[in-house]
Amino acid sequence: MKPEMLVAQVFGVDEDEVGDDTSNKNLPAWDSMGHMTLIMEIESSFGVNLSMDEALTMTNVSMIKEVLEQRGVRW
Amino acid sequence: MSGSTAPANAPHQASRVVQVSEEHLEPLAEIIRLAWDPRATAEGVGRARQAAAAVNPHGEGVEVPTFLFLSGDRPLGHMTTIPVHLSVRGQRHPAHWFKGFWVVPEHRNGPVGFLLLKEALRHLGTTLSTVVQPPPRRLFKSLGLSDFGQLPNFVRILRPARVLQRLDLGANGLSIGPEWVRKGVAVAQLPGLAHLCGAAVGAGLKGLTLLQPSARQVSAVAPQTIDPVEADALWARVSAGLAAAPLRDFAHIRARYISKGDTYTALLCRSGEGLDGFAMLRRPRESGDGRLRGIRMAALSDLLYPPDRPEIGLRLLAAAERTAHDLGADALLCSPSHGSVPPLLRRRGYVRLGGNVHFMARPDGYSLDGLDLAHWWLMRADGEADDAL
Repeated sequence: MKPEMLVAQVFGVDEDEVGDDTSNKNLPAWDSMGHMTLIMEIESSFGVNLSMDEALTMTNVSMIKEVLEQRGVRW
Repeated sequence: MSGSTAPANAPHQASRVVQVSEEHLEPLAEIIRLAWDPRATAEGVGRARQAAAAVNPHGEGVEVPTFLFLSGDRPLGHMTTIPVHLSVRGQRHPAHWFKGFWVVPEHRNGPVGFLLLKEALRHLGTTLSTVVQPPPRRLFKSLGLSDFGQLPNFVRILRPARVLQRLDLGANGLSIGPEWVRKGVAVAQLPGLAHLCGAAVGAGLKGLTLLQPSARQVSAVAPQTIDPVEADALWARVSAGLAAAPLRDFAHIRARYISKGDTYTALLCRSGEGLDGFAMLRRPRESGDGRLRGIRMAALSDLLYPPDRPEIGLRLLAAAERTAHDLGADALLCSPSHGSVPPLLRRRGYVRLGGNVHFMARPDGYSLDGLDLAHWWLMRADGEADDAL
């Protein structure tokens, strides 16, 4: 699954509306609770165990992709 | 996700949640400077923590649990607690109010708040919260706190003309009761009418309360003068009739009021049998609510009397109104949860406003099922909700 699709599913928006610059600053549904839901979905969907530091930086789609790439994850 | 409370000697500087000890006073002072007090220092924060520990109802000298989310040495989030005891169906339980939940602006809507709360909950037993804003309410709920609903706000006008002149009826969200009240206030605000209408409202309120129990038998004193034995005896008598409440014994009075200098005036209702009830009045401040445009509001932070003796409650209310007026307040705010209090407030001419403070709780090892907000004896001072008006 593409990260964009995951973000769209978690926050209940169309995948077309999600791009690299989609973030917790411009998506109203992306609040603290939503962020934790997203982190848990990323962990289960991509089979990774993220650290607090990684969770802290994954506040936009671009950074989610960057962290996953560093972990060697392909989608 | 990996990560938990770091041991005190953790060598790495990764992001982590810590329970504050001596070594975290500098980052604690830093986040207090950012959020509340630009003059905060590590030394001052350390002294304040010692003072709070000295009156901790869970044990003298026991540190009050406080948590920080740290990224390296930088604090990103803060949560502290207020230790109390709860009385629930006659059983006594230790508990903590959450207080001072704050995340630096650039990390809101991220993981900081959630992880901070989750870690705090791992260390605390029963937790309680008075919370206003929806985002933290959602967080608390997701972590197991039940929302019992809003504490109602009741306001007694003490200087009608001044309040009439200052109320902003056009402001969003200002609810002042039924439509006829709103229309009446709008008319009273017409040029030249405020003083006249104010006098009429004042006379009406006086007439309403003329035949009610007066403030006789009630003395206004400093909280420091309260007798510990009398306070504990009063609580023992009253609590027997309450389903659920934070303890209002002398340990509570000492930690909550005596340690706060001259912020509060105690109102004691006495008879030959001793202390029959008490109220705590918080000195008037200018309301932070822009809709109230500088109205000086006092808060009836605490109130305790046997619910089956309403005449004592009425005497305490009358004394609170008189004392608040003497202290320069334009209005008096009271936010009781227990179902027996609002009828007394209405008898004394209080107007119900929209509430904003939600009471939330998560019990540890027992159940709160079957209790709703009206069963709890809560007042504005609980969780220090009277800090914000």
